[in-house]
Amino acid sequence: MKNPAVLIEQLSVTLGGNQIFDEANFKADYGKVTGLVGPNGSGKSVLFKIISGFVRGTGKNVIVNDEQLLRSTRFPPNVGSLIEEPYFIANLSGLDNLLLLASIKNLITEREIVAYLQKFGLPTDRQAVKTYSLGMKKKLAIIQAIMEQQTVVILDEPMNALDEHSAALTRQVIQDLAAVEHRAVLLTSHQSDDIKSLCQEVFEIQERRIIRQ
Amino acid sequence: MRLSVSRNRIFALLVLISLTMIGRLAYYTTGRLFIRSLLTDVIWQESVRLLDIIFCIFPYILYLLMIDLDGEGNRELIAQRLPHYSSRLLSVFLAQLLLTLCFWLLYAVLGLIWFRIVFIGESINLMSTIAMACLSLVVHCVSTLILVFDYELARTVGIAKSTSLTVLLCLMGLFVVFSALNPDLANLISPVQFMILTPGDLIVHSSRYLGLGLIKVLILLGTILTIFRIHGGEMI
Ligand SMILES: Nc1ncnc2c1ncn2[C@@H]1O[C@H](COP(=O)(O)OP(=O)(O)O)[C@@H](O)[C@H]1O
Ligand SMILES: [Mg+2]
Repeated sequence: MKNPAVLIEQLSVTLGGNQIFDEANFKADYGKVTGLVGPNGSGKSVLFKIISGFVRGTGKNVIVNDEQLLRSTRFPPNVGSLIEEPYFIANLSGLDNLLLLASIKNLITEREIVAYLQKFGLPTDRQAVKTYSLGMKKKLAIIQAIMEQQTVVILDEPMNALDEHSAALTRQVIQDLAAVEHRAVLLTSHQSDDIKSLCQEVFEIQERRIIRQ
Repeated sequence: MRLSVSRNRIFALLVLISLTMIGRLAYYTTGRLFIRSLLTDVIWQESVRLLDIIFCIFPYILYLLMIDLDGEGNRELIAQRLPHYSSRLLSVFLAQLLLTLCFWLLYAVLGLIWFRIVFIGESINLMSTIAMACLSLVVHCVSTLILVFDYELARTVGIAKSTSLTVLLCLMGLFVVFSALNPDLANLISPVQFMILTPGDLIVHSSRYLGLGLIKVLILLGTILTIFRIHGGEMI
């Protein structure tokens, strides 16, 4: 895989009348953790939504996993996303929620999902998601973003609401995703230490542009 | 197939049916003997009408509440895993439209029959009734469209989700106005709303979709049978 995992050129995005990006450029490679920093409201989550195909912009290129997203309504293939607070079906257990999502592509077995749940210390019984704490939901969301071997993994503030142990585990998982499994990981975090220690590349959003650091 | 996904909706449907039944029963059927005379003599006609309108509005409030109860919030997670989400949505929409049309027709016919039975001797303006029914059909179709494509509209056209929800609310409001003009008809066709497969049903598997559709058909058949029983009683 020679092409970058994500290539964005001259992207402009306007949402609800205010311009979030103006001819912004961004790139992320496989096998690397790419960090994105910027103040609150600068557009980190919006950029991740663009890359996931949830929001559309205009410009020259938004290519994710070799799929051009600008002039198509398709979602990019093989992308896993955790952006803001993802929604799960409250009446179902964490396992059932993941099984439901996994049943669409049928790439992984129940055993593998259970292994992920155990790794993250989540219950594998019938406990409904509505009884989960914020941190538990976050971990469930991380699992769905990585469980199907997605080659581009988008993690927007994954460490928020996680306890020390889970945060450390997540850091290890992020490192392994890039270094061992050769996936492209896109990360934001309020913890500048995390960005420094985990990311091989860092981009900063400044005044509707994305600057490589 | 997971029943728990649409448990909320089935429950709400039961509430709706009960309410519509109670509303209609209080107004017409039982009223013949006791309650109607009580309602028309003691409380005056207008408040009964008001009551009926409330019964009409309530299902729509429930319906709106249910839009997000069904787990469609995880639509992005689902969409991300489906290769041709838009074409999938189109097929959902067409299927819904077909279902809506069929059952709307059924209800409309039932409604007209019912009118003839209940209002013996009272003249009804058939043309205005039909016109109103057609308007309500348009409302149904457009709200289906918005429900199904809400997320797609937000994504591709860039309008905020709240905008399409506002449009939906306005449409519902319009329907409530129809209801106020002609509560009897609105009462009859309101359960049609529940035949609409909201995006929460979004077919992860077509088997699941068919299953849900079947459940809805069964529930609707049950409703129709119940209505028929009541009408049958009235006929005798
Ligand atoms: N759907 C939307 N409609 C209008 N404005 C939006 C929408 N989503 C985000 N924004 C705006 O875009 C800006 C960037 O938001 P976001 O990407 O969430 O910031 P952050 O960098 O903190 O993640 C904010 O000013 C926000 O108000
Ligand atoms: Mg954010």
